[in-house]
Amino acid sequence: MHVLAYAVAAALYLAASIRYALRFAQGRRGTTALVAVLVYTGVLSHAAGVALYWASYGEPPLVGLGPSLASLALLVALALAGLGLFSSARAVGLILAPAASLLLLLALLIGIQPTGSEFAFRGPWLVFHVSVSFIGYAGWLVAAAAALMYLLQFRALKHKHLGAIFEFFPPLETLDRLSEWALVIGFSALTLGIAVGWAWTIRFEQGLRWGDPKVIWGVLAWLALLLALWARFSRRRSTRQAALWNVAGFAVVSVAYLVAKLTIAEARFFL
Amino acid sequence: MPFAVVGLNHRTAPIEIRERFAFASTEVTDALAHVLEGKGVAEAALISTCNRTEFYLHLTDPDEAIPRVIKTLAAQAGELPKPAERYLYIKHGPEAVEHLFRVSSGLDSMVLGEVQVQGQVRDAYEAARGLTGTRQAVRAVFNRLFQSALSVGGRVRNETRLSEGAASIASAAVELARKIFGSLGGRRGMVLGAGDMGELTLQCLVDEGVASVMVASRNMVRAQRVAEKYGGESVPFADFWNWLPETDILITSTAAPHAMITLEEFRRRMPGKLKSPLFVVDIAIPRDVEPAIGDLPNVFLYSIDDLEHIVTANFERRKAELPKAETIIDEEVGKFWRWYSGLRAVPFIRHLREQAETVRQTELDRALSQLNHLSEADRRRVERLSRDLLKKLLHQPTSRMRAAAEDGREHDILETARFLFGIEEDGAGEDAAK
Repeated sequence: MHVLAYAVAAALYLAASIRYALRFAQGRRGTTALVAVLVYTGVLSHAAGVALYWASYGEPPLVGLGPSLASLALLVALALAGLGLFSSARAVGLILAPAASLLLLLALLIGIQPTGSEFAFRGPWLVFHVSVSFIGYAGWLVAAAAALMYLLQFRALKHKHLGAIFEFFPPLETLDRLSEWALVIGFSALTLGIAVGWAWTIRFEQGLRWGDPKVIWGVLAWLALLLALWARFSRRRSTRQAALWNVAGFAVVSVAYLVAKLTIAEARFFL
Repeated sequence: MPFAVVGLNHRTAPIEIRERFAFASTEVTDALAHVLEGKGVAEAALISTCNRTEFYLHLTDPDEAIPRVIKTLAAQAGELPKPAERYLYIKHGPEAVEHLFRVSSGLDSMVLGEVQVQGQVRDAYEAARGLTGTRQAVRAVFNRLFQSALSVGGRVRNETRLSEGAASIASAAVELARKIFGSLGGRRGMVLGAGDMGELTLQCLVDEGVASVMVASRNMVRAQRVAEKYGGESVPFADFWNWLPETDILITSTAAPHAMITLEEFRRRMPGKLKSPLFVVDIAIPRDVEPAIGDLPNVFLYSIDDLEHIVTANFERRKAELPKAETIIDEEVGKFWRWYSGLRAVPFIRHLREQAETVRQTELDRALSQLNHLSEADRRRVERLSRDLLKKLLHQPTSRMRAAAEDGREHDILETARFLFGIEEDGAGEDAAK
């Protein structure tokens, strides 16, 4: 039953993505009420999927790749729904809506059920660690999406290419502020997630295993996020450079994840 | 034809003639009252802007009313190089309705798709509504007509891209500034030169919320005048570099024969990278700002040519939306006209209802006088039964009568109905207008 709710949500996000893409391609300004309806209904269906999953398996969908991706997609969709309240920033959905659809579709393809070994410590520690870490990643995804749009809008304005990007994308200032807020939220949440994870390993595994790909990748992501944040608040960096650091850091961490996932056998159990 | 528009606009008269015909807002009610005083006008409204002066009329006697309206307009204009009639147009019936809808949608504006005209139509409607009593200017028909006009304007703006994009150099500069800074509230602007074009651009930016304004000009008197007008500060021209680091938007419009802001000087005066964007609008000819400055990080430099390209592209895009807008207007004119035609059945329907009500009341009184044993509650039930019965019996014929009138088939049907129900003919148009 939860799979059906997730599938409905994925279809609605996909429809919203198509609507965003059409508006963008037509060079129209802003979005329509239909997009908001699609996103909000998608979030409701997604939340129903989480509730049904929890009821079926007795735990939130945070363990295993499928459930994790589905939960990450929910956080991205929630961010998108939140942005819907601020008309000037709604257009960021051009990236966030396809991101939410893609994450959820991948989760559906992989299968949304608990996988991996039966950890003794599944419980409040794990739920909190994974939840705040996911908020961190989702925040960073929003920040990177806004930063990428900032760079494209900057380029359009600088080179006087006043086409679809100029019309559809939000103002530079809006994108910069959104990116800044999302970075702050993402960094705070990821720091908390990593700290809880560290405390957790001390409590259950007598310390952090530094060779673990999961740990290496987590620390790499945290460092990249720290650098993006530093670039944003440094007096010596322009807002454009901060956006570049943000997008580049996100790209490096995402590629590192994919490489680790595909090449390191030990990495198959994480996220 | 019961509707007419009599007036002139930017297509039929140049500005020096249009301003002679224009009515100040304080004169509008008197002009309307004057037009309504004579015979033949049931309702009237007056739109008077810099681009048009038009009387919209709902007429009961066009031959009597239209010459009087032309006389009122001619009296307002006074002596003219040509007779007043040479500048005026008169449109009747659905054409007049279509004209109003085109005006409120911005299709008849000097700048195609302009938005302000919607507000001007609303103001004209409100001013006409202000006239009450014996000289009431707006009744049921004009209420519907102007509400339809405003709603058509809204539809055209929502369903087409006719009003999208800047339509002037100044508004193009504002649009670009908004894309860089989002809201312009709290931003700091500086004008170099304070020529007419620079002042116009500054005015647009101040209207959008630019908080503080510096005016630097070699002519300090002019700089002070412009600065005072927009609540800013004037500075000696030579000092403008000192204020540049705190400026978000720079407008240059000096008459200097060479670039005032060179790359070399800019680099010397503004060492290091700009952390936040600087939007430079160079509307001077020859240019005040060396083009290479536009290549510096965080500097967005737009010349008058760049802004003109934006305006031209927007105009082409607006023009491409015309067929869509015209379809909406045709549809809405048809809708309004059907509603108005439907009013021809109203007097007959009213008489039919009155006659039926008299019969119902008489028969009810007679029946109740013979049913004294009924309780008060039962008497009320009988009365309700008679009322419901009448309502249901009349519903079908009256709605069909109205539909026939909307489609223009009312003549024969009304004749037959009058014969069947024994109702005399009356002045339908005047009655409907009331």
